[in-house]
This record gives sequence, structure tokens and C-alpha cells, in this order.
Amino acid sequence: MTIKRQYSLPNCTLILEGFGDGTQSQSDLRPVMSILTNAECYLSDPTGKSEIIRGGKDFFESLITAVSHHAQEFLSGVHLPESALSHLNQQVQIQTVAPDRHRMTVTTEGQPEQQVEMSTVQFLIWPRRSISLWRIRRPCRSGRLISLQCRSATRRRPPAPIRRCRSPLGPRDWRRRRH
Amino acid sequence: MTARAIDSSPTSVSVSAMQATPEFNVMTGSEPSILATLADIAVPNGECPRRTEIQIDLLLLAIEALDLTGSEAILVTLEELELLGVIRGRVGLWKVRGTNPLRRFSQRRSMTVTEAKALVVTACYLARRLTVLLRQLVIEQQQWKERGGDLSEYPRLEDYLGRFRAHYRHRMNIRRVGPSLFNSDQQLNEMAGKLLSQLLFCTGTAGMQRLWTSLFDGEIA
Repeated sequence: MTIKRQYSLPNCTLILEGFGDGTQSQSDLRPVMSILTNAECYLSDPTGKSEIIRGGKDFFESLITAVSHHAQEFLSGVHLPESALSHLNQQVQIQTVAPDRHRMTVTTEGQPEQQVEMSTVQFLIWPRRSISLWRIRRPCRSGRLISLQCRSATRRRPPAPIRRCRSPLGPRDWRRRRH
Repeated sequence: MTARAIDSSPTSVSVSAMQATPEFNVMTGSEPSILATLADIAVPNGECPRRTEIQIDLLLLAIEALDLTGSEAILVTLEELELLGVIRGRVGLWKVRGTNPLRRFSQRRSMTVTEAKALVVTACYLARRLTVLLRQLVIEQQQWKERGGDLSEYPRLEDYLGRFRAHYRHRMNIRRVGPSLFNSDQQLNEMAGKLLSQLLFCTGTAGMQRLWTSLFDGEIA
């Protein structure tokens, strides 16, 4: 049975197509999508400019992974180098290009590379919220769930130069100055 | 077959998951079950790293700047979530937040992982209640940055930034090197803006777990 699901948000629509195996979701009794065949994400900004990114199961898994990694990087500021992600499918990549700008790059075989730039608000509302919505109402079986892990201290940026960190002026320093 | 889903906040799902938590058992040291939703991080002596202590306190400071009754709301939420066994009332909260080394009256002891979990759960719970305001302020902030107009054109954002700067200067020891790096209005506005986005991130699915994990990023071996 072919199943099509649509998750709509302001300026972002996620459409998933696939097949079910006849089982039903226990939460809302809707058929479970066990095989995902096609995923499409329609993005439009307030100026009316719109983009479509689409692909199969690999694309969707890559989109989820990229959004998850980028969200964690945004929260902690600890960047994972590309070498650390090389074992993952990197069909979709998201990078911070400016303090408030994020660039999503979609690479599909046989097609030109597609780039979508978005602000932090758009990143929050577009891919992240739509994937959140999909997760909440998921009558689909995900092939692989994201596991959240802390990033090692070796990934941290080096601390500020010692000249900036030295000699804090605490109460003891004031006392010493008086004498 | 087509199923259409309209945007909705995950509040109902998350709030229901936060009900019915047993009290903290001081004798056995068992955690309330709500804290079990956050992963146990292997940190030395069960004490949080410096950055975690600072970040949690700043998130709560941002909530206080967003909501005029924020400090009371934190206490009420701790009570609602039955976390008063972990953080004992107003004085307990003050002591735990005082572990932030940037504070004027900083405590010598460190924040324990259980206390950090309780504060993160509370902050995320309050952030979900403030989702609409958070989203509006983040959008206003973006518009302000893009258009470069006067901040007074965005009164809600101006109020929030003003309150955050006042709270920060009142409570942090700005003579120390760390806080003094964020002493100018512009730097404090940037910090307040970043905290807004972080709080908005917490309101999504698994936002609480993601925030918790990110607090220890780059701090463990």
C-alpha cells in the first residue's frame, strides 16, 4: 500500500512517500510506513523565493543526521571536523557561514549541487521543526535513530590566549593594593 | 492515503511525560524519574565542568529577563516537577546557581550532575511555556540585525535585552576577566540573543536531551 504523508509548517512542507507492511501505529492507528521511497522538502522564505530539495531514503537519513549535528554544534559551539563525519552519508551538509547564516548543501548523483542559505530562525523553523513534527507523529519506521553523544575535549577550540586570562582582580588583590 | 499535519508545539507530549515523578530520596540517593530522561555523563567526582555551571545559570538568567516573574516561576516549576528534593527551595536554588564562577557571590563547591539535570529540566519546561514569545523575539532580533534600525522600534526585544544586561551586571562580578569580556552593551546583547536561540532550540523534540548533551561537549575526555 502506498502511503504519502505531509507535514506542513509556515514556509516549509515535508512530504514523505513510501510503502506500508499492513501494520498500524499504536498511537493513532494509522498505517506504518515501513519503506521510505521519496522525501521532498519545500522551503520558501518570506520574500516568496522557494526551493525544493528531494531524494530517497539515504537523502532523508542524511538530512536528519545533518540537522541533528548542526543543532548540537549551534548549542555547544564545538565543531566536528569533516573527518569525524566521514563514515556517515554526507548527501546533505549544513555549515555556519556567518554568525546568523547557515548553508545547506545537497549533493545528489547525476545532478548539480544544490545550496540553500537560511538564517537561524529559518533553520529552526524549516528543517528542524519539520523533522521534529515528523518524529512526534511518526507512523514511520526510521532506519536509524540519532544518538546524542557528547563531543570529546579534543574537539574543543583552544582557550583564549594567556594574556587575556591572567590576573583576575579579586577581593584579595584589592586588599594587597591597599597595604 | 494522505495525512496532513499542521504545526503544533510539542508541549502536550512533553508535559504529559513530565507528570508523576517521585520525590528525591535523600536516604537512598535515587533520582526522580524525570531526571532519568537525561543521560548520565561520566564526569570526575560527579561534578559539572565550569562551562556547564556558567551556561545553565545564564539560561536561567535569560528566562528571568524574559518573564518578570521568572525567578518565582523557577521555584514553582521545581515544585510542580517534584524536584524540591534535589534543590531545596529559594536558598537551595541560590546556592546552586552560585556555583557559577562568574557570580559576585560564587560558591566554592561545584554543581552536582543531579542538580544540573534538575535545572536543565526546569529551564526547558519554562522555555516551552515561553515558546511563542521566544520565537517572536528571535524573529525581531533577526529583523533588527538585517535592517539595522533603532532598537526602540522593537520594544519587546529592547525590554528583554535591557533586563538581561541589568541582571547580568547586577549579579556577575564584572571586574573579573571572564565577565568583563562581556561588559559592553553590544556584547551583552549578542550574548542575550544567543541565549534566546538556545532556549528556542530547547523547545523542540528531544530539545532537553540535546541541550543536556551539548552542555558537556568538549568537556569530557
